Amino acid sequence: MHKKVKIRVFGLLLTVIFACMMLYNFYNRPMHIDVSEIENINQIPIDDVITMFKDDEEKANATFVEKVIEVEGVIKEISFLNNRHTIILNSKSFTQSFVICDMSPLGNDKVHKFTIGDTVVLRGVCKGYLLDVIMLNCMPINEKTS
Amino acid sequence: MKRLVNTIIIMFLLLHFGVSAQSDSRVISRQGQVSFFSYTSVENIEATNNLVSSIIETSSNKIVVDMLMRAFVFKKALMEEHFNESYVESDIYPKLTFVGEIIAFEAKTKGPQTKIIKGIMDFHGIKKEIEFKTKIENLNGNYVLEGDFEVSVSDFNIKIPSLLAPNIAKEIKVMFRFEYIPYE
Repeated sequence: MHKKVKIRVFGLLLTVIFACMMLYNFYNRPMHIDVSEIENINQIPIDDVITMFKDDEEKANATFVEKVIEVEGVIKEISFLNNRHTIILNSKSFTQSFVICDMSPLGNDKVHKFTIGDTVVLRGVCKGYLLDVIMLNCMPINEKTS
Repeated sequence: MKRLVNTIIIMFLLLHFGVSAQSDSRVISRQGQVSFFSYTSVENIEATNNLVSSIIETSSNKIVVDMLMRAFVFKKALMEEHFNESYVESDIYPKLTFVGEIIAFEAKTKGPQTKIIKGIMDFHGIKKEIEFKTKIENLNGNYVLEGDFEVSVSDFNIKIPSLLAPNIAKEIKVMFRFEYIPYE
């Protein structure tokens, strides 16, 4: 009888410790996600993304925001500011609106290989539209250069 | 509807800048950095947005700042979820906009100047006049603007559950840094 109580208390203690560890890990889970590992992402033409946001921002928000999307474009600018790499992609139809991709640190080694004018496919989480379409956590996918 | 009106106001201001000012009087920053800090004895919370847009019309000293609330990056995923879903309600209020003026700014003077920026911050459905000190520097036609100020959570109708009240400061410190280049 005494032994049974001890086993139950030990079991309960283990459950509580496990639950606490799960809760701690859930609360402290990091922000970075590797978008390159996600499968079945549709590539959307860069002009279409910008057009959708310009024409109906509310509808485009509902379609794209917080979704992982993939766009192909020509690199207009690569910058390293605030300790982060950012790539600005040009479209064919718009001269004042671009797709701005805040690059994931996981893709830093690939970013160093790019130069202005290269055609690249970038995958990232769409956050919305200001003057440009904003994407975070971006990773190059099947990179190709001009 | 409110969002549409806000968008129209911003577009009007941007277009107004374009029509009324010479093309070389506008400078733009597409990668401005805005961070906020909440210090309490229970927990420190901080987040950074590295893709804040801003335009200054140097002929009139008008400034517009526009940022997506969902572009704030936290260290912990759960904090970001709470921030967007429970506090700032990013689905309903996706942007923060500031429209104001850099008082007595001498745009052509090279070197750093300390000035007051005064304007209307539109955030979480509330429009509030704010003013704060900034350091702005003319680097041969490019400009760097930086500074910090504090905002009160209660001024913007952000409801914090009483259980979490000790975790979130009543006054949030906001820090900003923008590098402007001529608007092509």
